[in-house]
Amino acid sequence: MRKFAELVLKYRVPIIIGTIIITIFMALQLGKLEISSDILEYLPQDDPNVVLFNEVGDKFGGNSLAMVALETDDVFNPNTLNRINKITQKFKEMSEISYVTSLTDVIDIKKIEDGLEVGKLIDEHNISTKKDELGKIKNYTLSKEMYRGNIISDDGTIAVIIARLKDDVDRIATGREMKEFVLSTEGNEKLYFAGIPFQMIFLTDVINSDVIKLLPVVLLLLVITLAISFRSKRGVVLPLATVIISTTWGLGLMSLLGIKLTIASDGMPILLLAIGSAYGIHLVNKYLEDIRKGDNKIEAIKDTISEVGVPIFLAGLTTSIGFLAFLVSNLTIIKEFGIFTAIGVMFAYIVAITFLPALLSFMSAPKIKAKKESLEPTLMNRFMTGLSGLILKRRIAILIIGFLILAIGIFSLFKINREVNMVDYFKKDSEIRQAEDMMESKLGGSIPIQILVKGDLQEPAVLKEMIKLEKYLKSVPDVHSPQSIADLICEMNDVMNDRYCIPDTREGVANLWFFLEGNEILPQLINSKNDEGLIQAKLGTVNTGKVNLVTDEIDKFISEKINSDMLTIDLTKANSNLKEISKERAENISNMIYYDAIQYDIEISDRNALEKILQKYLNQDNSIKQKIPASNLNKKFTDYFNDEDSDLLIESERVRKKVVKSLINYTKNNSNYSEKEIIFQLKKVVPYSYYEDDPEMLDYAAMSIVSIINNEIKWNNVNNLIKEIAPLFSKDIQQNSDFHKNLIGDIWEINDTQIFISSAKFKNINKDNQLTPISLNLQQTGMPIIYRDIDSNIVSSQTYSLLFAIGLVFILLAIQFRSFIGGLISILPIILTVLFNFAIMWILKIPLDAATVMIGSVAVGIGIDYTIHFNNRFHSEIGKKNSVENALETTLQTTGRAIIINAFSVMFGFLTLLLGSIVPMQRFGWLIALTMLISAAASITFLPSLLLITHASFIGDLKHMALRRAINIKANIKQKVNNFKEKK
Amino acid sequence: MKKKTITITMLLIWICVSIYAQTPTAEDILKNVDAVVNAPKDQDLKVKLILTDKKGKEKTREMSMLQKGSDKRMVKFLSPADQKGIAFLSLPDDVMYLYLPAFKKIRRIASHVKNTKFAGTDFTYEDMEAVRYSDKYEPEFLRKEDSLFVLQLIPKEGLKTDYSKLIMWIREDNFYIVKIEHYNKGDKLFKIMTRDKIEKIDEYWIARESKMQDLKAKHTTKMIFEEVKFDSGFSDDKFTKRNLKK
Repeated sequence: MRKFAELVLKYRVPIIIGTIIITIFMALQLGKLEISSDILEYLPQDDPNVVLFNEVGDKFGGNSLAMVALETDDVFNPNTLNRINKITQKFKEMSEISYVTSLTDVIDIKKIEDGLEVGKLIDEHNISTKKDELGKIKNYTLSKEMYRGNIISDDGTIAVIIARLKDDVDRIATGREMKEFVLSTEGNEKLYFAGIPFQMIFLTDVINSDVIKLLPVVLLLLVITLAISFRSKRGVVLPLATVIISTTWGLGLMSLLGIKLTIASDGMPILLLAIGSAYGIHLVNKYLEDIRKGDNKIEAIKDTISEVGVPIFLAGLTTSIGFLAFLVSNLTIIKEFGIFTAIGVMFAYIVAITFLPALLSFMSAPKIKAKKESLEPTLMNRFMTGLSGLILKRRIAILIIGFLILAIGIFSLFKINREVNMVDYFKKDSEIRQAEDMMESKLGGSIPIQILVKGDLQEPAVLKEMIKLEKYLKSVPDVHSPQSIADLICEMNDVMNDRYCIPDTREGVANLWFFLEGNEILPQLINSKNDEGLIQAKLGTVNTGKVNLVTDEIDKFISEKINSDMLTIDLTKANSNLKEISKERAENISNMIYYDAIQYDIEISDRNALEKILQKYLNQDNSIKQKIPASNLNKKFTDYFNDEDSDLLIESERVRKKVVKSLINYTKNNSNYSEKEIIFQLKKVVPYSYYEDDPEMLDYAAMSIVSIINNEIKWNNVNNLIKEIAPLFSKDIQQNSDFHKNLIGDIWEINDTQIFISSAKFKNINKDNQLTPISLNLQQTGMPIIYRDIDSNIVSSQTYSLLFAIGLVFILLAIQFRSFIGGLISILPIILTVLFNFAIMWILKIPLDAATVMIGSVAVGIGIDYTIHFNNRFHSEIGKKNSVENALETTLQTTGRAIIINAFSVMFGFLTLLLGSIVPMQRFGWLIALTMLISAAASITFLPSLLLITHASFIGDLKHMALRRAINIKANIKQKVNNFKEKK
Repeated sequence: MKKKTITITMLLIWICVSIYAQTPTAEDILKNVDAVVNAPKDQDLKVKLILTDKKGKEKTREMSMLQKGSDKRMVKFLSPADQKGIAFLSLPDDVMYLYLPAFKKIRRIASHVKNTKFAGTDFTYEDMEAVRYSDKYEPEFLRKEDSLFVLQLIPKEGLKTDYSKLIMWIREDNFYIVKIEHYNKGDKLFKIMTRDKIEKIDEYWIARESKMQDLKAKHTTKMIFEEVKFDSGFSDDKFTKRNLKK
C-alpha cells in the first residue's frame, strides 16, 4: 500500500487533471440521463409475461389506456357535453391515439319494432340544449350496462373519455399533449387524469423534482456534519469534492450506457453522497491524526494511505457486495440500481484514495492547535462506560432480547404485505392518487385485465366458452365490465333475435358478425385473421394482495372450467352418452345462471334443484319438447299474412282466417311438419290468383311459416322453464331487466341442437378420431399479471439478494478472522438488524415494494462495517489490556463512539428521503435510517454479549481472561470498600 | 353597321365562351361531376372487395349490387360462404332492411350514423351513397394539373359529416373523379380514394377499380367492378323486402 501511496504522489498532477477531465465529461452526460417510469421496464424484456403483454398490445391497438374524467353536478348539460366533445375530437385527431370512446362518440344500438336503430348516443354535431331532452338522454344512458360504470358514473356526475394509445408511441409526450389540451378547454368541471400514461407523467415529474429538491439538502447536511467534525475548510471541501465527483461519475456512467433513472434508483445520488462521504472522512481524519503526531505533509499522506487504505477498501467492498447482491434479482430496475450504486461506491473509494491525497499534497500542512484535552468525561464517555458495565452484567438478558428479536423477525417474514402498484407510490393526497381512487370507486378502475384467446373466433364453441368466462368474471368481486367479440355477438343476437347468447351454428355467428364489421371496437378485440381475440375487463383494485387473488382465481377458472378441446355433437343424430351429455349441459347452464345471479345480487335458494329441473327438461323426449303452442301461433300467422311486405300477402280477412285456421290444425296434428307439407296445405286453401304471378311465393311463405313455428316452440320452451325456476330466485326476475336478459340467453341454450362437449371428458365418443376437436387456448395477460409477476419477483429478489449478500459477507468475514465461528458470530448482529427491520415492517404494515425490498441487502452492506470495526478493535484491545472489562470499555469509548457518530450521520443522510414525494422512497429513507441505528446498537451490545458468552477464540484468549476478570472484580470490590471506608 | 355590331357581339360571345371553356367555374365543374356520377338510370354490378390490413393481410368478399337512381339499392353478399345470402335493401329516407339468412329474418335498420364503415371496408355509408356533391359542398377552384381540375370542397353549413374538406381531382375531358382526399376535423388528411381503369361502358364512364385508403388505420379497400350492366330497366318491385330473401 505504501508503494501505491508513492505512486499517487508521483503522478499527482496527472491524477488531478485526469480526475477533473473525467468529471467534466461525466457531468456533461448528466443532461442526457433519462427517467423511466414504465413499470414494464421493471421486468426483463424476455420475461414471458412481458413478451405476451407486448404481443397483445401490438396486436390489439395498444396496451395503455389514458382516461380523462370530468366531474360536475350533472354531466348532461350542454357545456360539459360540448367540452367532452371538444376533447374527444382532439384525441381522435391525434395520430398517437388509436381509439377514443366517450359520451359524445359512442355507437348506440336500440331495439325498435321489427328492427333496430343505429345511432350515436349523443349526436356530436347537434348537442341538445333543452333540459328535458338532456334528461331523457341521461336516463337512457344510465339505464344501459354498456355505458353505466364505463363512460359515465352510476350517478351521472362523472364522465370519462377513454383513449387507447398506440403501442409504439412516447406515452409521456402523448399524455402531456393530451393533458395540456384538456386543461386549455374551458369549463368548471373538476378534472381527473388516470391510467398508465398519466401515472408515468406524474412519476417522471416526481422523480425529477425529488432529485432536484433532495440533493441540496443532503449536500448541506454533509457540509454541516463535516464542518462540525473537522472545523476546517479542507475537512469540508475534500470529502465533499470526493463524493460529488464519484456521484457524478456513477450517474454519468449510467447515462453513458443508456440506463435510465427509475423509481428504485432515484434515491441513488443521495445514497452515494451519504455512503461515499465516509471514505473521504476517514482519510482526512487519519491524515490530521498523523500530522498531529508530528509527521510532515508527505509522510502523513503516505502513512494515511498505507494504513487506512486497506480497511476503507474492505468497508467499500462489503458495501458494494451488499448492492451487488441485487444482481440475483429478476427485476431489472433493482439489478441496475445495485450495479450502479456498487460502482458508485467503488468510485468514491478510488477518488478518495487517489484524487484526495493528490490534492492534499498541494495544500500546506495545517497548523496544529494545541488541543485542550478536557478531563471531564463527556456525555458520550459516560454513556459508553455505563454501556460497558451493562453488557458485562446483563449480557445474557441482552442476548435473550436479541434472539427474541430474531424470532419475531423470522415470524414476521411471512406476514409482510407487498405492494407493487404504481399508484401506491404516490401520496394519498396527490393528484394522480385521487384520480385513480375516483376511477376505482366510481368507474371500476383504470387497469384492464386481459385474456388472450387463441382459437377460431367464428366458431360457436369458442365463443360460448368465452361467454362462460365473461359471466364468471362478472361474478368475481372487483372485476367489472368484461368485453369481447363474444359478448358483442350476444348483444347483436339480443338486438336481432331477443336472446343474449351465442347462436349454435357458424352461419348464425357469421350473420351477426357481419353487422359488427367495420365497427371501431373490433380491432381492439380481434385480429384480422379472426383466430386471436381479447377478453378485457376492468380491475377495480390496486391492492397487490387482491390483484394476486383475482388473477390466481381467473387462472384457476381457465385451467379447470374452460374446455380446451371440444367436439361438435349434432343432437339430432347422436345416440350415445345422451344422459351424460344432458347432465353436462344442465350443469353448464346452471353455472351460467349462477354467475349471472351473483352479479345482480340475486340468491339461488337451491342450485341442485335448478340443475335437476334443467336436466329433467333436457332428458325429455323430443315429442314433448316440440309441443306447439297454438294460441301464440294464431296471432303470428295472422300478422304474417297481413304484412304488406310478406312473401304472401292475403288481404281478404276471410281468406286469411281460413288459411291460418288450416295451418294451425295442420301443426296440431303433425309434429313432423315440413316445408313441403305446408306448401301442400297452402295450395289447398289459398286461391290460385294470389300466387299465379310468382309460384315461388308459396315456397317462401312455407319457409317463413316453418321458421315462425320453430321460433314459437323455442320461445315457449324457454318461457315455461323460466316460470318453473323463477321461485328459486330470491328476487323477482321480471324486476331486474338486465338479469332477465341474461337469464333468457342462458336458458335459450336448451334449444341448441348442435352442442359442444369437452373431448377430454367424452373420450369414448371420439374413439376413432372421426371428429376434429375445436381447440381453444386462453392466457391471462394485462397489467394485473405484470403486477403479479413483479410481486413474485420482489419476493424472490428479497430472498435471494439477501441470502447472497449475507453469504458473501460471511465468507469475507470468515476469511478475515480466519475462523468459521468468527464469521458466524460477526454476521449475527447483521441478521438481527435485517430481521428487526422486517419486524418493524410487519408491525407498522409497511409493504415490500421496489424500494423497501432493497433495505435488507443495503443494511448488510453498510452495517457490516460496524461489526468489522468493533471486532478489529476489540481483538487488538484484548491483546493489549489485561482485562475484558478494560478491553470492552476502551473499544466502546473509541470504536463504539465512532460507530454511533457514523450511524447518526448516515442516518440523517437517509432521512432526507422523507422530504421526497415518492412513498416507497420515503419508507426506504426512514427504514434504512432506523436500520442503521439498530445495526450500530447491535454491534455495540448484542455483538459483545455474544463474544463474551461464547468466549469466541478468534477474538482472543477470553477464557483465561475470565479468570483474571474474577480477580479483578474482587480487587474492584476491595477498592470500593476501601474508598467507602476512607470517605467515612 | 348592324352587321358590324352583330359580328362584334358574336366575337365577344365567342371570346367569353372560349374563356369559359378553358377555365369553367368551380360550380360548373361540380355540376358536371354530379351529372356524370348520376347518369345511369340503373346499374347492375358484381363487386369484388379486397380488404388489406396494416400487416398486408388480404380478405376478399363478393357481392352483387343493384342500384336504381341514386336512392334505391339492393346489396347481396355472395362470399365468404358463411355470409352468403346476407342482403341489404336501402330505400329513400334512410330506410334500410337487412336479411340474415341464418335466422331467416328481416330486420329494419334505422341508421343515423353515416360515418360507420360499410361491411368492414374503408368506405363509409356516406362514401357509398350516390351523392350530389353540389347539394352538399361549396366548391372552390384550386388549380389545374395537366388535364385534371383540382377542386376544394367545403361542406355546406348544417351538413353532418366527418370531413372538414375534400380535395378532388377531376378529369377535364369527361368530368370523372379520379381522386378524392378526405380531411378530418383537425384538417389532417386521413383518407384517400383513388380510381383506376376508367372506361366507357355503353355511354357511361365508370372506374372498374376504386381504392380507399385509411391512413390512420393503415387499412385499404379495393372495390373492383367485375361485371357492369347499365340501364337494364329494373322495376321498383326489385327493391322490396320480399326480394331480400331471394
